[in-house]
Amino acid sequence: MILDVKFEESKTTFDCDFVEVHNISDGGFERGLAEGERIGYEKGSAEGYSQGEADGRKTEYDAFWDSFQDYGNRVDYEYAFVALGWTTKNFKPKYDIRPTGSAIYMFGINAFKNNGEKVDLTELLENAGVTLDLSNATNADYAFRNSYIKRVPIIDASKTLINLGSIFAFAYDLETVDGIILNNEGTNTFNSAFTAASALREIKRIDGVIGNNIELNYCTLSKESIARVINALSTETSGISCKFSKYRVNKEFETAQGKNDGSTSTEWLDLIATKPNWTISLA
Amino acid sequence: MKIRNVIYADDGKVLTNGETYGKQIYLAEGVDPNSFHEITDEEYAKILKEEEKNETR
Repeated sequence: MILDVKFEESKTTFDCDFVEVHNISDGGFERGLAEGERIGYEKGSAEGYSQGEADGRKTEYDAFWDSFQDYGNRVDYEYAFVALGWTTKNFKPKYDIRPTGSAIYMFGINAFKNNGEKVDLTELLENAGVTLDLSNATNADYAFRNSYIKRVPIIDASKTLINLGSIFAFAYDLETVDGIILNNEGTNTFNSAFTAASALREIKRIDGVIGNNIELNYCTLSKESIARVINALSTETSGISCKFSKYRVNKEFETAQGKNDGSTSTEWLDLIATKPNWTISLA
Repeated sequence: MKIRNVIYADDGKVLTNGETYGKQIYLAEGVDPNSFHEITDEEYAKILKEEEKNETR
């Protein structure tokens, strides 16, 4: 029997009864090897690329925020986030935001405008694993002016941020303040803290005492928030006033849907009667 | 129900004592209602505009 055994590399003819064949595959081993190498390379390349990309992103993230926040030591956040470019995708602070000096206009003037939708700053900070701590700030005027922020976290004004000044003034999109912590002496001042904060509906918590004039007539406060403000009014001062929107009080305390008679309701009158030392005006 | 002294502005008017402004004002104990006088809505709007202007930086 003559058996032709053909190799890719060479051709050899054997004349025998049987053939012990070495490298019987017609190049399959080489092809397998090549294919395996290719697959391994591509997989390794993809994984390596992916890892490299992730590492690269982390390096760039660290480089930016370490510099921007001075490795967590930044204390002056004046105008810090005033820019059209901030969005929920890139606003990921690495360190807690803790101004110990000025925080004026911190998120003022079009902050998050290019985000496309209003920003929940509380949620954004939580997602980044950091906090906004104003407890040691000295001035936060216009901190949220003209920003596209709808919700802010608790503002601690009990220590150094005595004058809340114009903190929420012209924050047209602001709907919710998670809370305001005031000192118990009633020395915080509010000047124009809520001027033109026309969308503000909820102040979800108020700790401490309101002991100076406060005007919330621009705001669209809920009944609960109005009640929180009145409950926080000092019982010890005199000659001071608190102002709400007449429309809002009539609506929120109305005795039946559509009656808009809240300012004469028992509920409202009983509420403000708890603070007889305050002049309450509806504008 | 507890009652407070309340003063109401006429239509088209706003009450003020020079510091506090409002259409309907619940007076604190001891506050004299005669310390308030009326201004027009337009005058009040002007005052508000001036205040907002002063806020502009």
